[in-house]
Amino acid sequence: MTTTTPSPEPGTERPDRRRWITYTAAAVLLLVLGAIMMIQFAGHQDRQDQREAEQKAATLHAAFADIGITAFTEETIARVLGSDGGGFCTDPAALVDATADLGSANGAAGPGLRPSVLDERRLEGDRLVIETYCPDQLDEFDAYVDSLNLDDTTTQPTTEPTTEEAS
Amino acid sequence: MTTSGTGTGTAPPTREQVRKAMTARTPRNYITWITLAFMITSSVASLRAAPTMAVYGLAAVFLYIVPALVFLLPTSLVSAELASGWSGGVYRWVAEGLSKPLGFLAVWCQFAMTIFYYPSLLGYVASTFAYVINPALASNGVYVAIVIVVIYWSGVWVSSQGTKTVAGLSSAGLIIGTLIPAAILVVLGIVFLGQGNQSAAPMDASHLLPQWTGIASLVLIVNNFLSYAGMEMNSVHVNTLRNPGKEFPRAMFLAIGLVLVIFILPAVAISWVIPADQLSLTAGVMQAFDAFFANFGVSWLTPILGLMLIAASIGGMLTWLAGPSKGLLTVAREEGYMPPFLQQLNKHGVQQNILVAQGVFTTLIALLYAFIPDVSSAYWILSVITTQVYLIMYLLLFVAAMRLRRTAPDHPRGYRAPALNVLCVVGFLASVAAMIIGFVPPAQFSSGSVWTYILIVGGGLGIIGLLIPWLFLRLRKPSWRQPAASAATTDEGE
Repeated sequence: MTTTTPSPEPGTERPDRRRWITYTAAAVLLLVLGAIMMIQFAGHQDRQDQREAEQKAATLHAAFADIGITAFTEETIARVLGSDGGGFCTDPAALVDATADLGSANGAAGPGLRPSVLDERRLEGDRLVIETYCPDQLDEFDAYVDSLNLDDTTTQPTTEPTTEEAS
Repeated sequence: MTTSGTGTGTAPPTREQVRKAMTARTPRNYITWITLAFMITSSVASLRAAPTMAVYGLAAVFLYIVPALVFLLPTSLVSAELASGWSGGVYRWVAEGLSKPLGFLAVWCQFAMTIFYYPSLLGYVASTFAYVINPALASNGVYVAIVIVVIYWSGVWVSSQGTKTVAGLSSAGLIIGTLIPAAILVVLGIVFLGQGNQSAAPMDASHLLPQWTGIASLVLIVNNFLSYAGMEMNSVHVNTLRNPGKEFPRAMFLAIGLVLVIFILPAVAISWVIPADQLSLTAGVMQAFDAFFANFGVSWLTPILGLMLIAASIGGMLTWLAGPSKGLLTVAREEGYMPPFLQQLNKHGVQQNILVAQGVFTTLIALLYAFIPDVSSAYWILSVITTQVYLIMYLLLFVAAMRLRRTAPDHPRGYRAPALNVLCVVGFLASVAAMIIGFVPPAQFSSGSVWTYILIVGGGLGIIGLLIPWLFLRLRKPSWRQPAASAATTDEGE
């Protein structure tokens, strides 16, 4: 049995083919990137000193409790921050970017993204993380915090006081 | 190969002749209204903001719904009406409703904003990738510059392949990079509650409103209006629909629903699982998601999510590359506001030279952003200035829409927005409020002097939003006009 496939409309074959080549290339690139990301992420986690990660997580958890912050479980802290502090300790400049990204931006995800209100408690918590994981960067972080213009128009308590604080 | 419009001494062809000629030469590449809805959504919404807003718990709903009522609905419904009646996007609407120079100003403001948007968007892509492969890379200027430049120029190449290619990739980016991970977050959140856990953020009516702390709360709410900036941008592709009058409003309504779902549900789901205190202790978006997944013991999902977020960001970037530059091309050709070099098209009918010129500026800014720490840390000021510039376009849009209802009430429109005048007044006032709040210095402004800040933002607004477009208008030459070619560009869509 033979089947015939309709021939493409003249003039449409090449653009469609070119488009599908582009789509395929993008998909292959994404898969390759995905493989690299999975391998590197797993490798980075494997390279962490588990014992040190657990010790630091316990220290940080206790420090959070002291200032009344409901912290992650020690296990979660150890997984996310590892033994080297992850994103927190790469560079204080990265932390500044992170603060702009998460701590003080508005709810936009597109071109409307701009600085909004800063949660001061975040700065307090960030300092504890740096103190625990990369104390050598504390001075630089403090200098950054000192440079901030913290007043009634720029900060807001975004969380309600914890039980400890209330009492 | 590039093709320029007419410009010889012979009489230029009429608009209809050019349209027919173009249609005969190349079959039209239509896209479906669902694809266009995905493009609109991809331009505006992604999961990037979810951890930020999850900090507010149930109040995140309020912080998205109020801006939706005063900004999203006005911009979307007004754009839906205008796009269903006039092709060509924001330039055409403002030109018809107010004047051609103001139409140029509107499309310029939309276009100029994007030049400064790409480095920060691609900087976010670089930091997301770095978080997964090696966090130390995030602060490496060479790495950031390479990521920005390579992805940007790849995006320019993809955009130069035509609207349909952009539509396909940006829709895929939305599905893979936003809709699927959003569904995963929500399902995990439901599983968390289903296991008998208490929601980390209180979900009762008393927590629906954010804590009122005076002007800071006002800043918080009004700044969120801009979450929906960009809903009108893809209207420039209206003629790639088979039945623009009916299909564009449909696309817009679907996009409104998707944008609200993408912004609200994942943020609330995260707040069920991670208490606000903990969320505010994460360094960046990726670490917040990492912590979310660690709670479920599925940390292996973190790199996959990272890849998905990157796909969504690049998909969104493609729509921004293809949209405003096309609007600018239309006005450049019709009124000769730009030199002929910038009016040339490639063989796919894409404004390649505008994209390349834009790319040169973007590359320069990206290099400064990546290599000069002072530029990087002060970049947020540019984001404020560019959102202010963008708001000029919205002010013009609302005024033009009201005027068009009065001056062209019988012009055929596929959709008529209900209570258009009310929508325009509300949208206009919301835009003014967002512009005023843009002059309130944020915490990052270290000098603390309000007047210095107003001078910087106002000066930037004046230069980018008024001086440069005025220079284009002033320096234009009558010989630069190619109205017939412009008609073809607008009508053909690809």
